[in-house]
Amino acid sequence: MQPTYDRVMDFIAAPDPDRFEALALEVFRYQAAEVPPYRELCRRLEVNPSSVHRIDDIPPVSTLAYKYSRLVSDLRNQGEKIFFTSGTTIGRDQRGTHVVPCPEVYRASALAHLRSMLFPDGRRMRILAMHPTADRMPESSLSQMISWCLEEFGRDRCECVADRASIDVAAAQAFLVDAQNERAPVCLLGTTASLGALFAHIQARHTRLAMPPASRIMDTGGAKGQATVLDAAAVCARAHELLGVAPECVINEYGMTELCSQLYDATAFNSDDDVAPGERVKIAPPWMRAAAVDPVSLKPVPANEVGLLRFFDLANVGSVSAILTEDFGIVNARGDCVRVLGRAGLAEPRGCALAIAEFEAAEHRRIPDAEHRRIQ
Amino acid sequence: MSETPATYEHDNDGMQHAITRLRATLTMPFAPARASAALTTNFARWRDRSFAARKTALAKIATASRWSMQLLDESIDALLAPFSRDALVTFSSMLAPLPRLGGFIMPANVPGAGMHELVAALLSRSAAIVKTSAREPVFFHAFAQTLREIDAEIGARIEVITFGREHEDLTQLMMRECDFIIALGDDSSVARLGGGARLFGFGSRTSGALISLTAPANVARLATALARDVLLFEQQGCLSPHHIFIADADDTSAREFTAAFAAALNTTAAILPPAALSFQTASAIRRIRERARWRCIGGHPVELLEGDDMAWTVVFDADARFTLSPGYRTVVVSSVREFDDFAARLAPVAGRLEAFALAASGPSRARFLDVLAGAGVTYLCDPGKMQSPPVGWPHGGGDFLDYLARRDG
Repeated sequence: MQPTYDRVMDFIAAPDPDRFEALALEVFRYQAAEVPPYRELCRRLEVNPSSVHRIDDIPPVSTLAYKYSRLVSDLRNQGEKIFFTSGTTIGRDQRGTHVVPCPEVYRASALAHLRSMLFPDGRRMRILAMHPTADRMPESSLSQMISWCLEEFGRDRCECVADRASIDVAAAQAFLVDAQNERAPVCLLGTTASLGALFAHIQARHTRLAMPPASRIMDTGGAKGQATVLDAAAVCARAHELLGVAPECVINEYGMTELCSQLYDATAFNSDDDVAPGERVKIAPPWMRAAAVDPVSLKPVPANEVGLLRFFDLANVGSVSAILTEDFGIVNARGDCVRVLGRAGLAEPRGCALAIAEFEAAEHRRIPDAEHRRIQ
Repeated sequence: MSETPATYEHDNDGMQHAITRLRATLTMPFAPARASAALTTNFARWRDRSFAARKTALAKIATASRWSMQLLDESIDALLAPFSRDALVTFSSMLAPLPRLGGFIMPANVPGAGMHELVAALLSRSAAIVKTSAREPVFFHAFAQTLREIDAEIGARIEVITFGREHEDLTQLMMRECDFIIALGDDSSVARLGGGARLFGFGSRTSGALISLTAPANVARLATALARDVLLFEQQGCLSPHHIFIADADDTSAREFTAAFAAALNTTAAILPPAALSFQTASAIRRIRERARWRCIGGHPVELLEGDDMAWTVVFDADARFTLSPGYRTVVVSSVREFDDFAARLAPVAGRLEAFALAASGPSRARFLDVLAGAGVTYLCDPGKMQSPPVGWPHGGGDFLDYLARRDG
């Protein structure tokens, strides 16, 4: 078991694409043996782990599984961290739990890809967190990632202006004004919703900021929790208009509690890509492989065709690495470049028949305290 | 052989001409018996699977919907079965003839849905402008055409037009010019309608089943009958059961029934091949399967039974409240302990239930009927009969029939 963790850590430190599949199969066999619910899934699907020789034949675990099972190895749980999802099905599902028995792998994965995608220039700088840090929201994986980011890439003055109940947008604006006046580049980290709140605050005061060059923004979460939905293009436009941050320095993250690795927008800032915000693709780290799969067979669809997004994340070594999401998108042939298109399985026109979305909306109206916001 | 048009799209002028022609028919003499006779002949032809107009229309619908031809044939047979001569004549005698122009906004998800209301209108001397969806423009065009071939005067009382929901001007024209409007569709579509006409909205509804397993229940027969209710129209209409409740059974018996039901779905899938699923539908079913699979692994009283290639999906969820599915042969089965428990399970869809298949006898049947009536069910039937409501079915509660019979004041 320990050698498998060590090999994953070694891979993150020095990725070698030629070794990925062999290590993925090793990790799968370890998880199928040591994670009891995953072992049970393999048994039910009549999958013999020793007979699996291709990554595409590894049975994926739905993100829904984390709501109902403790998907973690029993062998190593010293210093484990436990993160909760909010559950995206309103009212009905309990929150998911991702137990990360080996946080150092999560940390290594998160920081290495942040370095590539958000700090490719190697700079450390002032960081403004618009989502609670881990000390304020320990159950949030996004909070944990932000705290690690502050430790690793922060410098001079770093501040968190959010707690689990609110965001102090006035304090955020004051932080940015100071940085502007002192000509210190800033990195903003937060949800798209928190950025929306900041933009609204600044707009309401008819002010404009001009953040110093090399300032950057990482937002995540998309439409979730937003009073007024900002799409990717709108986030970039407002960041440029209100904060003076160049569009290529506005990087959207795609991540979820169930995955220890994240994907980030490819822009001219961090790659050779230079496309409009609405056309952007997301880059997975070398220790993660994406596929778009057919929802019926769960087999990969041809490259650049739409399918459900499935990931194999080596950094999930302590739980389950093969994850089937509820999002759909397009993946390139190498499995490292993803265009996320939306949430799958939503309502289609049903004519006279009551549709699930319509029904759930009515259910939700009856549950005023239902948790909307996804906590990462 | 009748022809259906190559293109179905209509514009404002076409609609206005149709309204003018229909208005003119309202001043012509009307004999209910003649209308019944013409409809009887037309329905008899359409019940014949070798009828050329039917074959052509269903082939087009199968191609567009990606439903199998066998499934469509079986579904249309079930829909049309109640429209016999006797049923039409008897029903006609209950109506109060009065010349009115009715507008019918038909749904896209189920070919032929709205037939009961259309027939009721025609038998009550009304003329009908039938607006079909651009997604399913075929069925009523073909049906009206063959009616004209049987009796030109009766057939002249129907005009079928087709346009997408983006043509609000045409919808508004209908609302202005018609005396009443029948609108079948989702709640939001129905709610958008406004104007001077009397509106009868048949919004989003769903259906279920209750099976009492008191001896001597014939499990195999009941399971097969319920499978038929689920399969027809690919479970897309308001008369398709989404949730089956098992009463008077212990957990083992309820699970055995669930297995028998799943086996019936599996057997029938070979005879009535399932539709090709859209990506979104397949994803929705995948979600249901994975949720059930992992609840089961997590120790919940849940069992997942699944057909190959997503041909069907059955979730036994002992304690579930009424649960909607995306259709396409996806069903939840639960057990209920007592009448209050049953009523509580229906609470999420109370007032939105259209039909229930009921297999129960003795004193408990009456109690279950009370619960279903309280939940707003308009059509109770034996398992296997859900897709064949009688000609006088009080769809949506019967307001429209009351209107035609002039019982609504």
